[in-house]
Amino acid sequence: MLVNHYQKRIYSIIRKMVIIHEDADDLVQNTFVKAFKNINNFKRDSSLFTWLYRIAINECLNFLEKKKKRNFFRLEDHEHKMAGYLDSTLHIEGDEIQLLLQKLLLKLPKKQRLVFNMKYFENLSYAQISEITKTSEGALKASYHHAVKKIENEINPD
Amino acid sequence: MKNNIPKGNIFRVPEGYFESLPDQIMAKKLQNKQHTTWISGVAAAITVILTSLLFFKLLIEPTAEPAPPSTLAVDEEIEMLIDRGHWNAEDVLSLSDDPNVILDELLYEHWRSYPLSESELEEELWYYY
Repeated sequence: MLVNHYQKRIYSIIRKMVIIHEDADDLVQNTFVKAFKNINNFKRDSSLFTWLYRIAINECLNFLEKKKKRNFFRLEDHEHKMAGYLDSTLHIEGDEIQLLLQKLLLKLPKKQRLVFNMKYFENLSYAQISEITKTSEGALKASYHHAVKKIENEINPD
Repeated sequence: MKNNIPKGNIFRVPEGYFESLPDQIMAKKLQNKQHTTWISGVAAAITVILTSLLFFKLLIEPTAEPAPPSTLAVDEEIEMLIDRGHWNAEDVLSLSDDPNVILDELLYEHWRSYPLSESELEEELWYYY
């Protein structure tokens, strides 16, 4: 079944983007519900996983954009909330440097963070990321290397 | 990226999360479908009610009295009677409350197409007479 086969991978990329388990849970469910609703529109010009991944990414980016707009008038922004979640929940288990990496990633623009997550953590090739995001491989490589530089400078300022 | 940062997954899920996720997704799918059906039903009911109200309104309301003939319709009738030779210019003038107004309008219409200055007008009249 579609859900059983892809749920962990879809959850993984979504969770890395939105950090908070409850938000990831909502978005994973929305992703699969939309996939079922639009399955007749799947043109088979890409793999099913690529198509699902694309839906998942759009859900994440739209969610983060909405949170950004909604929090404009509030004292705490959503990025701060996600960073706080990394420190205070049982649903996070990592050493100091891993937590630091996640907090530094939160400072990146969300699309750059997405590319980093897909390349570094999900081990997708540039060709696969290009197909998912409809972005050129050259742009993706530039984005990834720029993100790596920023993070390395923060972790190892010497 | 330098290899001093382990790539391990730091994100944990609640116990049994992936076992129950497929059922939750199916339930949400069904809920969305029911919600869409409910909204369609409400929209259809509102359309039927509004259409019925409009129908009854048209049925019950008395027909409006015929509107009085417009000035334009009267003018057209007069023109038709003149064109057919039933009336001549004197007949129209005699029927009018103020024939001079009609004559002034006719003169204005005639001279408007001849934008002559005062001196040009005098010259033209000289040639006429």
